[in-house]
Amino acid sequence: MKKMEETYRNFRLRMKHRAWVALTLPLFLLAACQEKIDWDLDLQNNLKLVVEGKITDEVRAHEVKLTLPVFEINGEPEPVSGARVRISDGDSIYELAEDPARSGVYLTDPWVKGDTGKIYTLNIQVENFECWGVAGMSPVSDIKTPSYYRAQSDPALYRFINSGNNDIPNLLRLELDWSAVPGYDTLDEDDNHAIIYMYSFGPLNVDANQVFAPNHEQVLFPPGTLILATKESLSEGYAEYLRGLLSETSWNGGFFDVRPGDPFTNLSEGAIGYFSVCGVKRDTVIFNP
Amino acid sequence: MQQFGMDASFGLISSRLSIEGPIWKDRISYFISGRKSYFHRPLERLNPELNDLYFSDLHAKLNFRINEKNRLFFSVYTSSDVYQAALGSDQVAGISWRNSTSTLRWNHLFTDRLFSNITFYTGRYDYYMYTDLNQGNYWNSHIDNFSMKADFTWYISPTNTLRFGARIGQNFMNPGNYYVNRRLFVMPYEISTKSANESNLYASDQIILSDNLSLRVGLRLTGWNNIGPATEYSVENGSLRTDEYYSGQIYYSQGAADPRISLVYKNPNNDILKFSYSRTSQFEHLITNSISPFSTLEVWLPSGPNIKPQRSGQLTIGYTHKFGETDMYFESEAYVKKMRNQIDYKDHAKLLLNPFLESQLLFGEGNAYGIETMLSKKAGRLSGWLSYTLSRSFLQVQGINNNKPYPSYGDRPHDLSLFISYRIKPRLELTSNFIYMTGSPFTAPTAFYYYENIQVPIYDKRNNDRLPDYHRLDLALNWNLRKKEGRFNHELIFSVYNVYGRKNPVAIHFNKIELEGGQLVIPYDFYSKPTLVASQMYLYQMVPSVSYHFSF
Repeated sequence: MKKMEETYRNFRLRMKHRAWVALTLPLFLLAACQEKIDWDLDLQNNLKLVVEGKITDEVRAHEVKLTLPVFEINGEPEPVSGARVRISDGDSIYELAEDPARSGVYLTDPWVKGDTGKIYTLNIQVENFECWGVAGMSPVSDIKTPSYYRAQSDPALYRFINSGNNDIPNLLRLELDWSAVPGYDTLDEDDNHAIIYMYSFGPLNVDANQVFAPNHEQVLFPPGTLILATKESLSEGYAEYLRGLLSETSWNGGFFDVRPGDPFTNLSEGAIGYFSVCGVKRDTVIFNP
Repeated sequence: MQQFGMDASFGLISSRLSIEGPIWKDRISYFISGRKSYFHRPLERLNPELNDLYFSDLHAKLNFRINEKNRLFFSVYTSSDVYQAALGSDQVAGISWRNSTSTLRWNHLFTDRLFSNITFYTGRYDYYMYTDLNQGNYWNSHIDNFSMKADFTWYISPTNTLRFGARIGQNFMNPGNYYVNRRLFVMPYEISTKSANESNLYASDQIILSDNLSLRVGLRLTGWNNIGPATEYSVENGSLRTDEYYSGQIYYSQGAADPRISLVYKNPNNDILKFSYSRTSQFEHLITNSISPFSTLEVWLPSGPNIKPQRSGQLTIGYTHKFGETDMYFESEAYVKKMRNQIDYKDHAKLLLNPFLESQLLFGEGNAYGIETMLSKKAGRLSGWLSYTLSRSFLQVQGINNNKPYPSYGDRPHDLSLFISYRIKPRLELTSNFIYMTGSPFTAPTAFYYYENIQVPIYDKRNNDRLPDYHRLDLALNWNLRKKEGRFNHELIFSVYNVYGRKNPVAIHFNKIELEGGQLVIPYDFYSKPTLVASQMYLYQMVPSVSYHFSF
């Protein structure tokens, strides 16, 4: 009997805890159906530099990741190697070195730390292409434990609920690891780890497509899960970038769809992505409801 | 005004009932009509998180014949559409649309050839988006208006009819404010409401020039004033400027002169040739960047310092032919339309709680052209029509699509419909309706990139792709149950919507993952890169229904 329970539990976990959220949204989901299709996109090989750059107020080596777009859905991005990447804070210029272990990832020296009140400029040179990004830092608030609920589909498991825009603008990244919880320790890495993001754009921000977002997969985890929470402050520009990114991804396909468009960026010369400077707070807890 | 009457229809998802009758015979009569849906209960079983869902309306009318030369008409209308559902554990969100109007009209006969209608009208339209019903948090936008107009019709001679009139109206618009539970949070500011008055003068003269030729010419003059209290924003030398206006202050004025002319030529062979030109101006604007097939977010703004009136001019040439003494007609109409000051939006425009909403708008021009044709048989045991329209519609807006023209969302080049009605027996009639349309344009990604393992689409051009073509066939069988002549009439209607179950996509998405059960959902775990699939969303396939209708 115990073996059967374990097999059942493992089966559930192989499902990556992705129980479909019961229909939550409106009439259209009752009247509308969706299905997977093959769709030929008219993909254009229009090369643009993709930048994921971030400096925080922690003393550490900060990363700028450079890649190229992909011209097929789920394509593997090609890293951009051999670039010259510099960050200036008005007083000093930090030259970033490419990580020998990760092509396309550029690192500052490990003692660099971002500060509020300073304006940071990212400069990237790749062959004949050069672009800039300018950003400042907003302060970060304390981490509040997000609300969690027992999963209806399996009372032994829990899930987090996004608390919406009640906090000052921030991004909460939760890295969940239940690989050390007995009964779950033999699963594939993908089945006992998860990373989820929760966004708050402030109480004065109301986006209809956020309120009525489409159903997302559920990430269910057991008691004993190790949670590494990282909270990042969002400057006005970074919040605008993420709002656009979510409109095109997690909020797209709900009751209110907005006209598609590329998210705002602070990068010049047609580069895409964002260069952010964030205040950060971290916390590590064992989940014990 | 003479006798009591009732008309009702009972269907599977809604019912309606209307009654009319005299209060004071030949003097005062009433008409009351209402509709209510009741699909909430069965849908609640399918989806326990559905909180409420209905539409309802009520229309009441009172006619009062004062004497031979004076009549009064009073009507009120109210409607409410509500949708509420649980989001998550304890949050209930929803949308509702509410509309109410009242009209008082005085019809006066000056002479046998001159009469007037004086109308007082009030109306209010509310759009609510509840972000948390339990906490009492909601966003509301509304538009109110009050107007008075006088319309005159003067039959100067058998060949000359003059219509003229004037209207004054006051408009109030709330572009959207957020009302929250004040125990938890106090809004630091309110979005400025807008007021404007509009006055119109118009005249239209229809002249029969000869047995074959008639002419109608008209002109509509509009005056528009924005009135305080209001706060208006603008960008001056790169910085934001704020202007405050006191109550009653006229701070912006606009005008329009919209002419129209039409010429109709009829020859003895039953051929009719028509030519017309008209220009229109629109001073109230629906601001929505939604492309959802289900609902739009509705914000209304008046023309003002930052928004010019939308204007259009349309030229139409038409031809109608009646085939001999039959009841068959061929009609064709070609048109060209030019539009100015058309509104589009910045990418991911912030339209809610934005005091400077106009900063999110982009302006441009539009043009549309097309030819509509119809072959119809209007009477007989077999009747119906076949219509086909070939049309195009484009917009060109600074800041969108590299400033080049792009197809508008309504650009559907081919539109075909075939309606046939066949009376099988005197009390049994079969109707069919076939519709075919080119799919709507939509903006599809031209590449993707990754940000924190989130796959983000990249767009190159606006409306660069099209949904699959739309088509469906509907059938209905009307069975008249009345066997004997009399006042009471009743019928049963069996109908099937989308008989062959065509999946007509209303949206295509590239942001979902497929679970092992085949369900398509948005990814939430970014430990590794989610594998996205393309998916389509479509509405009803085949929907059978039955309804019962009676009247007496």
